[in-house]
Amino acid sequence: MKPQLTNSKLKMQLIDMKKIWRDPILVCTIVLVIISLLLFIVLPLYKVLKQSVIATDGKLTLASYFKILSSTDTAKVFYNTMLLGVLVGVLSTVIGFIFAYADAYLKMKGKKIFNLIAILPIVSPPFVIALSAILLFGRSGLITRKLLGMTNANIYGLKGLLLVQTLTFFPVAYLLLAGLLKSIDPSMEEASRNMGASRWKTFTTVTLPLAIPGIANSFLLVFIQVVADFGNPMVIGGNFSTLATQIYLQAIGNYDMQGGATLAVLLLAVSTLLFVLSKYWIEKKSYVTVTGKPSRERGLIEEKHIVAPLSLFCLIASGLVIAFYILIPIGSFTKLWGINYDFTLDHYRYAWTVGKKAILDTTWLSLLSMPITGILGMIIAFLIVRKRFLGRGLIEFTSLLAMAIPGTVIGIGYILAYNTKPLVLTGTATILIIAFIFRSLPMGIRSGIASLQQIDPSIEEASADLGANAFKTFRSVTLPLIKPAFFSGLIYTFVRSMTAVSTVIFLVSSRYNLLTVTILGQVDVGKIGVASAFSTILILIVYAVIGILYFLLSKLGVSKSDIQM
Amino acid sequence: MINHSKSVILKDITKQYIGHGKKEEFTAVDNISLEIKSGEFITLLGPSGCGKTTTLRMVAGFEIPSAGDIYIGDQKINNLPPEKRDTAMVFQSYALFPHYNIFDNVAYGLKLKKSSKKDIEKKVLHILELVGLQGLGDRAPNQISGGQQQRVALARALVMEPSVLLFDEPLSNLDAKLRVYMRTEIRKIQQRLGITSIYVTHDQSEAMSLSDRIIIMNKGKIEQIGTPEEVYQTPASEFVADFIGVANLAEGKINAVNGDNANVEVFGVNIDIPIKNAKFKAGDQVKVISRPEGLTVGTEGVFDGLVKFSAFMGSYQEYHIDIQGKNFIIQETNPAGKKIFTENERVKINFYPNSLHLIKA
Repeated sequence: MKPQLTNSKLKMQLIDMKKIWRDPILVCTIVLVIISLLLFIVLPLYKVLKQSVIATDGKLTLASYFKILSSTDTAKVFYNTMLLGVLVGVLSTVIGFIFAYADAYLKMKGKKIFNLIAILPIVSPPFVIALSAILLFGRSGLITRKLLGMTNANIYGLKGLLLVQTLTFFPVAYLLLAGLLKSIDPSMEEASRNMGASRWKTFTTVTLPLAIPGIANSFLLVFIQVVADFGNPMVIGGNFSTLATQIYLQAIGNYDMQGGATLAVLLLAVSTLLFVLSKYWIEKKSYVTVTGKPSRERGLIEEKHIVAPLSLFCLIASGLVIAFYILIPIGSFTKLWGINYDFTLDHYRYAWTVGKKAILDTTWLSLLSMPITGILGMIIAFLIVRKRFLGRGLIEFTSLLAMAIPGTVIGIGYILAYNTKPLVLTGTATILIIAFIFRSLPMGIRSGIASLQQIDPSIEEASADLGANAFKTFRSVTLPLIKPAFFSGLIYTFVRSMTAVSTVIFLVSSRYNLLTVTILGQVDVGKIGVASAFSTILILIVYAVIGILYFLLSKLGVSKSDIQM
Repeated sequence: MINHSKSVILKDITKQYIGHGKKEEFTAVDNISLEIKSGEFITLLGPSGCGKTTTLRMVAGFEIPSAGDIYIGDQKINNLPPEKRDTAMVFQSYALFPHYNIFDNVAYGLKLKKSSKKDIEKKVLHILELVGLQGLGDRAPNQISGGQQQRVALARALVMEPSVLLFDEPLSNLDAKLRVYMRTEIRKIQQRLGITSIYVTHDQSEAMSLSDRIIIMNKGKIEQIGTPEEVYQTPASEFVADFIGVANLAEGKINAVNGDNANVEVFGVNIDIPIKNAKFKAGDQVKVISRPEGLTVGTEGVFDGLVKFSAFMGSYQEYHIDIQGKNFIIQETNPAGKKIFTENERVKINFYPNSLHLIKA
């Protein structure tokens, strides 16, 4: 007799759920994770959407959209944002590709600098390059005023943003494309040469087509970051407004929450669309598995006429980027930029007097959110990769989506959701920590997922088979094996929290101000020297904490090479 | 080592999965029932996708049956999580913990049981000696060879003194020679300890050499359960005949049944064939199965054939013979003293008594 089988999909899922029900710790964890994701990612977005369609009398209306969309100002802002996204996307991808190609294919010296170039934008506040662009090309800029004697130089606007954002974001493209090019099996290119193709022909018919999905992806990722970028347009945008800054100005500057929310929905739609495009369309087309190990090492190109121009380009670009960063500490020790280049500590004295609390608060709030994010990220990654349960899809989708949400959108969402009862959090340190956690979490989850997928699930099954419960297995087997991802998640969270600006600018208060917001304030009143001093302090704190973390980890027996940024 | 061996009973077990992206479900295991005696070594044998690994993982507790019950000893274990089941599994990939050394890998389960330190050390060292790894306790898993890793996996399971040992294709990552060596080792250790064992493989020679009984599975169903001799000599279906060894098939028709014998018409000739594990009546269409070593090629015999291919293989001469359009593979053992036929020669085919077997068509 065939047993009566349940044919509904839900029933089958419930049978699978039995596996989970057997473990109460697991059930609690899943419930807590789902609740926190709903509260701090989904609810704020829902509030933004609601705010944009509910009129003051409580009726559902699209009036705000008609108003915003018919305004020429908004059209201009929207056009600006897209234009900037496309231009910076293309420029960054081209430069990033040249760097990646040099890294993967050329026999050249100085490749170590590439790593530095890639890491600098990650460990500095998002507007450092904008700041040094002002020092170089501003009204009293080193090049414009001192060298060229111009008195009316104007770096503000599109051209300034193009320069600054390209220098900030091309490392993103470089990292992505370098990973891709390095994973192309060299035997494919050798096969092409072997059948009579020249190096150029091989590049255009084999290498480039294989890299096309990656190139498209890097364009989209840069695009998403450009349209979400808040710091640079604030510092150097001038009259060139973008969606991200306009949301803030509308909501906080003009006290028009509905207008801000409507713009936020618009920006969110753009980002999400691009993200979905990148995730589900382009990544499917990829021929090269990113984790796949090539069969052999690639024979590097040594021909002078190829190596010389490309390495020259990379070295000049690298030098430029490094110069931009070095300018900040120099500026912080200079009396009055453009007029008096004497050494001074005044800016630091002033910064310490006005910003001592902000510096300390930013540091300890970031330190606090670090372990929480690290552990939560690994737990969620573990649930997504290893467990099957109702709500898993929701967790995966929400944490993925969170990557695409621009900081200003989530910032306005937090104000709308946590300004009123039942949960009043605005003005507290808690909301800042929550913002730090949920801004860094998606990245932690992603690296956790990537490293879990490398680990044979039967290793965990073996642990269960030998008598360990889910908690014990996670602690004694899973966590040690994904240690590298865990520690890089810690560092990433700290750095990201220290340098966060777009979300937290909505959430700071007189009780809790943050370093990045203070810097923006100084830039706003023209105190570039003080802003540089604050930025230098910030970078020093970041390096100090990373250094201490490395030291502690080496005491715990974790080698530096275990941690990838 | 103490023997805690217990029997295993599967009752009407079915496992369905939700198809990925597809609406309908996929039945991996389709209503199977099975009784494994305490101390018995049984093998689940079948092609990939036949449900053998799923069955094993349901016993271990990694999968939950959609329907049916599983018992270890007298205890129904359907809802017991893996860590509470008294089973120990040897994984295909070994699944050694890369961050522990060999000793700690083997001691892992004992530590969870909160055994005393002295006890753990005694047991681990004893087991490592049993599998021939004495002195390697300090090594990391990636510092020893594949064969040694395999033994660590075995030791880690054995040290738990489980009621049931589970093997998931444990030898498939070893080279051919080591595979043969390890399977004798596994059989020797299992017989010495007398632990109930369930072994999953798709390698028929592994199944034959290891098992008390073989369970042949196909598309989620059990095709036949029997000793290695039974499944080879008296396969219950065409699938089993074909999956284990080489089978020659011919169509036949029952003329009459006399007790344990049937008179069958094959290729126009009437012959008597013993009936083993099926029931027939006069007029039934049947298939007659023969093995390559059960037939002979000569100048006298029952059937006429034409040699299509002939090759000297050392211990036997292999022939491919055409009998009325059907290809027969015949291995004539010890060819040295016999007449060798070449291609396109006409020959007569004969069969050894008891070498033909009947199944339903």
